[in-house]
Amino acid sequence: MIRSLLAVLLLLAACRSGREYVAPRASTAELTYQAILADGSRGVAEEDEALWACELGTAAMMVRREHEAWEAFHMASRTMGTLESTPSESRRAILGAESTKRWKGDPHERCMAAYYKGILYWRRGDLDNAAACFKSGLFADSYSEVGEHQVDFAALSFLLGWVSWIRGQDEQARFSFQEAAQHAPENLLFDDPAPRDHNVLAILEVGQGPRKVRRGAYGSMASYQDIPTSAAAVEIRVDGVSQGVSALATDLFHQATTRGKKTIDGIRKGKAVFKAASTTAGIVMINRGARDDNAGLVLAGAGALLAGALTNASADVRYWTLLPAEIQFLPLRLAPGMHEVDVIVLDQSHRPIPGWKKTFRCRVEERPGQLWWFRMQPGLRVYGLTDRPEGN
Amino acid sequence: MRLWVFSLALIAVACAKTKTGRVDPNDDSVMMGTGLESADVEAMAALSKKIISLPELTGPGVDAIPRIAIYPVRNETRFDFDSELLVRNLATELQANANGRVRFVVRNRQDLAVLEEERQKKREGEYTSNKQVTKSGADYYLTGVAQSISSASGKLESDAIWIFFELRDPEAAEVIWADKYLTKKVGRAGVIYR
Repeated sequence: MIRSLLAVLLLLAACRSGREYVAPRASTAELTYQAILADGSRGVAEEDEALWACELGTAAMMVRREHEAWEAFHMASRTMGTLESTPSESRRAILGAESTKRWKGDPHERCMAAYYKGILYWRRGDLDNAAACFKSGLFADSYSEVGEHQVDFAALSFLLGWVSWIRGQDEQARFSFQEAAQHAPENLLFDDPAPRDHNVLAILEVGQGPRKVRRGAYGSMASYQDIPTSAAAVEIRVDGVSQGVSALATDLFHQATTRGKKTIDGIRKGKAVFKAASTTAGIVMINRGARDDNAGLVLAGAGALLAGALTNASADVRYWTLLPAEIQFLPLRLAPGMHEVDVIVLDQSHRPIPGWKKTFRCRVEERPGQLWWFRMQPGLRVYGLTDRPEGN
Repeated sequence: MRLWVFSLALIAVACAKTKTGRVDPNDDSVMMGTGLESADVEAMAALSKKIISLPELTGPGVDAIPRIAIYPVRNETRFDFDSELLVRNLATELQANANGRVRFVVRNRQDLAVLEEERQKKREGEYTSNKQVTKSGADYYLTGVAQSISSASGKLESDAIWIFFELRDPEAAEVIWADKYLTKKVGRAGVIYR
């Protein structure tokens, strides 16, 4: 009888937690993109829509579908742009599983959504909205821990500085470059970025972003794990001539782990304590009630057990799996015309990793502020957006 | 027993279907954020009446139908938005209120660079009428800039957004009309996101 009751309660609890969305991964970006799209056509739960859109947007960038990527990030930003919640959504997430709330990402994920959307605006020539996105990303970072880690997303500051310079806003550019230098002092590029001396800015993303996992009693705590990679930096050679090695601007594991404490962490901790206490009390009361032939105590124990079983203390560990580990930059000064651009991935000692390189045929135009984006993916793959997107 | 009922109710709420419904575009969205909303775009269009009533455009001394080029609003806020939507909505409202007394041409972002060239052409005398209209141009141009002050502290975030509009005479480099639209919104982060 008691076993049957427990089984029913566990089933109920499991039903309430629902399925948590995890984006499919495949061997190539194209297959990953297609698999994420297929997920969408099968229907993604409303609470996972923004996460799905972020994954789709990143995959779309890797397969050079810039407009689709922009649309995906635009869709995601409608949810991620506000941290408001409806009363019923709050109730569900507090009393039930946290993962029933709409995914809006942690601060570093909201920064990254704004960063990608800004890049896509920039590449289509809409510098006003690119700057707006970088500002929005920096604003999202202000939700990180108060103190030295607040608004320390140097990559966004640097991009805002560069785009501001192109727009002729020298004062904003100077301020943003100073901010970038302050938050990434080891990056010598930030000391003197000199956008007027370069006509192409290369963004290089390396490694896999941090993995979000559960830990603690009943998985009530969420934390991030770093995923090691052999890639440390990237060298760019143009027509066989080295243009230098990229420098680190933002480490996403650092960003993810300096987000500070959240109110919901305390709520989950309280739920874990309640779950443990009511389960223990329920078992004790049922045992004692059965021993003393006390039906009332058995019923009360069953109630406590039910309350424990229905309490879902699990942390929401949905996370953006296609994020990189690091954002790096390398400004270039290139003659207008067609070039052979070799993107060579380097290890910790700045030696090329055998087989991890790709050559792109790129057109450089006679204008400042061209933006190239490269992504180094596991499996020795390199993806890139170089030439201007069609229609611009 | 109560706990059972509560749990069942919770499950029922969680499984409840939602229904899409038609709403007034001037109403605030349920989850609107602190950026520009359709209600703001509509409210901005009300400025068109002030523009149409300007004596330089529809006053007694105006003998030819003036032409206004409308340029996208420059965005200095932290919100990305379709500045051509603002302009197109304003232009539509202007057309509706002008009754043919003023003509409009909507320009895109790339055309901004043409403005200076046009001004130069005017100076060189390439006029198509005595109102100094160039072959590709207009008598006046309407443009704007959106700026904001954003702040966040703990669970609250607030954004004040100003959109300054100006109607300029490119020949005289003179502002003949200026007005602004201001909106301020305060958002409160839900406890589950803090």
